Amino acid sequence: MAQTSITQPVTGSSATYSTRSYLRDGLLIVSAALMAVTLYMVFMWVPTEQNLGVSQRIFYFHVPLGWIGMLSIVVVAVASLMHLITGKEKWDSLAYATAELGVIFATLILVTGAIWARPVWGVWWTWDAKLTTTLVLWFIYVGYLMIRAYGPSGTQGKRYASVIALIGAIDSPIIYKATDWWRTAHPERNVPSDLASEMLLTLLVAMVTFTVLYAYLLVERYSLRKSESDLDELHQRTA
Amino acid sequence: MNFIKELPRGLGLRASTVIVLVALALTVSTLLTTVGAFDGQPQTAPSTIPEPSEHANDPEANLPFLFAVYMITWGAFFAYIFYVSRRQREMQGEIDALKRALDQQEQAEAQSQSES
Repeated sequence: MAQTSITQPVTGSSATYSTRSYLRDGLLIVSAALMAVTLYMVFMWVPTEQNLGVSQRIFYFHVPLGWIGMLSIVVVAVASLMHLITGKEKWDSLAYATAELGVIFATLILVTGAIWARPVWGVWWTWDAKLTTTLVLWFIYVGYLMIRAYGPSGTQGKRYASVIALIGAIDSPIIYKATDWWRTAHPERNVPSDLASEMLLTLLVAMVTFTVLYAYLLVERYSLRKSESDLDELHQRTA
Repeated sequence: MNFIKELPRGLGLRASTVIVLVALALTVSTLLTTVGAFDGQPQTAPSTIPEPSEHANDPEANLPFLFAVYMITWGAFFAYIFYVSRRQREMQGEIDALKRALDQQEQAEAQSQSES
């Protein structure tokens, strides 16, 4: 029996791995093609905004980053909830992979926002409701990863982190509605309704592009997480 | 998609795509200073930020900020993809080595059992 368990693949099968590889390669090709289209539209096609000048072009990266940042915490929360309900490892792997991506996207939202704010508002940072709630989101992601890194090991640590993710997801609608609920320097709507058609189209293409890129990064990071689990399992067998 | 596997290791699809993206990013950053994208007739569109720029009359005044945003964003993505790919390769190597070691151990055990 011991022989059988050693020679069998740790998890999944070669078919599963190749399917994941095809998905990953496909997403990479699509995201690269879409990114080329987005860059063309942003720099060559869309007209320059009258009041803000070229700095308005930051908008086509900043808004999609914001969308992905908020989407990530919802994915982390759903995956964490599924992990709490089913106890399956794959949901925890998905939550962890998404949280790591969430930190990157949340960091980029804050950095690109600060760089845009400097020429337009004259300051790098202000305690605006939208900025503050986004900073809270960043802390939630970091808190989640810190619990995973330094919290209790095994199932208990995963459960603690899952609870943090569920609480953290509440921040996502607050960020979205911040401009409605409080007086902020941001525009009242996240995407102005009277945006010029070229600008709206460019923004939509950029959002699709970043969503595909996010999916690619998620598959990539999820695969890495699975490899980490496989390695742990192998180490346990050899010990 | 099998052609991807037939490519030499150093010229895999991912590496090629990353190279293409780097080239694109560099091209765009070069174009920033030269293209006619910023020479077009400014169109009336709603301001997404309430306060107008202090250089409102000069559409190219804030070019360094735009450049910084795109370089930081691309730099972060490339660095992350590089980190994940490298880690994945290292981990796969370690998994393969462990599996080989286990196979050898298993064969040795089977041999000793058959001899006894």
